[in-house]
Amino acid sequence: MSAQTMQQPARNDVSTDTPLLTVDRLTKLYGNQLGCADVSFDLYPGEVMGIVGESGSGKTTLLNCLAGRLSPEEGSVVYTDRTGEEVDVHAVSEPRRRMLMRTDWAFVHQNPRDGLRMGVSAGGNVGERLMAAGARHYGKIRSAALDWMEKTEIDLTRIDDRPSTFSGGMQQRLQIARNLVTGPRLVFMDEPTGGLDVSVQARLLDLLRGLVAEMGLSAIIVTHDLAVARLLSHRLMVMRRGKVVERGLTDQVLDDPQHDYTQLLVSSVLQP
Amino acid sequence: MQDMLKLNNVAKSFTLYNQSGIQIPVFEGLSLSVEKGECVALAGPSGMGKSTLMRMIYGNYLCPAGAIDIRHRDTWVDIASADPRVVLDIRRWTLGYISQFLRVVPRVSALDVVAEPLVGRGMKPDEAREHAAVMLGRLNLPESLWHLAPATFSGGEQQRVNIARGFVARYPVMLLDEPTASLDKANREAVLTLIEEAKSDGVAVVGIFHDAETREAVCTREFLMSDFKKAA
Ligand SMILES: Nc1ncnc2c1ncn2[C@@H]1O[C@H](COP(=O)(O)OP(=O)(O)OP(=O)(O)O)[C@@H](O)[C@H]1O
Ligand SMILES: Nc1ncnc2c1ncn2[C@@H]1O[C@H](COP(=O)(O)OP(=O)(O)OP(=O)(O)O)[C@@H](O)[C@H]1O
Ligand SMILES: [Mg+2]
Ligand SMILES: [Mg+2]
Repeated sequence: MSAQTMQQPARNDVSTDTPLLTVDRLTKLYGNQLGCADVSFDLYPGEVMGIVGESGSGKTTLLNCLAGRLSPEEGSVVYTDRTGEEVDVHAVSEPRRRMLMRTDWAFVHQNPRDGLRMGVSAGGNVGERLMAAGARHYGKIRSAALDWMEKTEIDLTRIDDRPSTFSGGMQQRLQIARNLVTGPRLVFMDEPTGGLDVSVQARLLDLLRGLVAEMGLSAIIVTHDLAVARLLSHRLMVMRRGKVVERGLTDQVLDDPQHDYTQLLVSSVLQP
Repeated sequence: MQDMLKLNNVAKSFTLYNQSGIQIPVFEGLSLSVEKGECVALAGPSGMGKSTLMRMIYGNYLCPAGAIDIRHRDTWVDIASADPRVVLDIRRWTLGYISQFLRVVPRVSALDVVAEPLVGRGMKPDEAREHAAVMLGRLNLPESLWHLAPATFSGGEQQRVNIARGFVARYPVMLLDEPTASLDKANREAVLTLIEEAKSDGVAVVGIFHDAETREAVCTREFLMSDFKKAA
C-alpha cells in the first residue's frame, strides 16, 4: 500500500495555482457607519474560507461586496473565470456580472425565502436555475432536478410541491440544490445553518462538507458558529468592527488564537 | 540517513489576553532533526510542552520564533512561515498526526472517518473504504461498529479509529501524541507493529509515549524537553 499512497501527483501541487478571487483593500461604508474596512485576501481553487465574528462586525456586508451585490467605496474584487480571463467584479457590465452569477457563482442566503421562489414548485426552483444558465431540454432539466433533490436528501415525491410547504431544513437543502445544480465554481454562503435546529444542522453540514469536497468547490462561508467554521473551512478570517483582526489556517486560529478578540470568541463557546 | 524534519531555534509562549494578559513561557532555543526511519521520543514531565511542540510541527499552533523545516515534494518547506494552503498540502501528503483523542464529526461513519485521508488524495471512496476496513481490522475494531459514527464509541474504540485514520495513508513524517494511552495490551501491540512497519518503510516518527515500556520498544532515541524550559 505504501508505494501507491506515497505518490504525489502534480495536479495537487498548490504552488502553481492562480487565485480564483483576488480581493484588494475592500471598504464599504453606510453613510458614516462602517460596513467593512480594508479587507484583502486571495481565494484559491478548491479553497473554503470561513468568516467569523460577532453580530454587526461586517460579515454580511463583506460577503455582499465580494459577490457584487453591494458596491464598495474603495477596493476591488477580481475573479478569474473558466477561460483564465480576469473580471473586475465591480467594474464589469451589469449583464456580464449577472451571467457570472448564474453560471460561475452561487449565493446561499441565511433565510431560504431570499434564495428560493416560494410560488414555484421545488422541481421548478432547481430547473429554473438551469434554464437561466442556458439549459433548454425539458427531460434533462427534470432529471437534473431530481438528481439534485436526491443529493440533498429531499423526498422525490415532493418535487411538485411548493417550498412554502417544506420545513426550514428542507427549504435550506432545496436552496442548496438550486444553487449547485449549475455546477458553480464559487459559492457564497451567509449563515447556511443559521435558524435551523441542531440535528437538522448536523445533516446539512454533512451534506455541505461532502458536496464541497466532491465538486472541488471554492466557497466563502459566513458563520457565527465556530464549530461550523471548523468543519467546513480550510482558512478563517476573524472580523471585528468591520476589520479583519486575525486570519490563518482554521484549526490554528481556533486552537492557538493570537488576538485578544479571537481568544474571547473561542473561550466563549463549549467546544469550538 | 536523510533528514526529514529540522527544527531550528524554535520558541513558544502563550499570552492569555482574557486573563489579564498573563504570559505562559513554554520553551526556547529548541533545535531537533529527525531522519528517515528513526523514532524520536519527546520526553519530559507534564507541562514541558511536548504536545505543544508537536502541534507546532503540524501547523496547529503558531511558531513565533525559529524555523520548522520539513522535506515536502523533494524540497524544504518552513511550516512556521508557510501559507495555510501549503500547510494543508503538507498534511495531505507528507505529515501525519495522531492526536490523543479523536475529533468526531456528526453523521460520518468510522469507515469513512478512516477512509477520508485517502479520498483526500484522490482515491475512489469505495477503494479507500477497502483500505480503511483492513486497517480497522488490524486494530481489532468490531465490524459491527464500522458503519456507525464514532460519537457513541468508548474511549479506546475512538482512539483505534483515530489510529487507523493516521496509518491508512503512508506519510513520510508522522507525529504520535500518546497513541496507546487508552488501549489495552493486545491493541497496544497492534499499534507498535504499525509503528515498526512505518519505521522500516523509512518514515520519520516523532512520538510522545508516557509509559516507558512502549517508549523503549519503538523509540530509537529520546529528546529531553526540559533542557529547553523557558523561565517564567
Ligand atoms: N443597509 C444598511 N444601512 C446602514 N447600515 C447598515 C446596513 N447594513 C448593515 N449596516 C451596518 O453595518 C454593520 C455591519 O453589518 P453586517 O450586516 O455586515 O453585520 P454581520 O457581521 O453580518 O452581523 P450578523 O452576524 O448580525 O448578521 C452593522 O453595524 C450594521 O448595522
Ligand atoms: N492553546 C493553549 N493556550 C494556552 N496555553 C496552552 C495551550 N496549549 C498548551 N498550553 C500550555 O503550554 C504548556 C505546555 O503544555 P503541553 O500540553 O504542551 O504539555 P505536555 O508536555 O504535553 O504535558 P502532558 O505530559 O501533561 O501532556 C502548559 O502550561 C499548557 O497549559
Ligand atoms: Mg450577517
Ligand atoms: Mg501532552
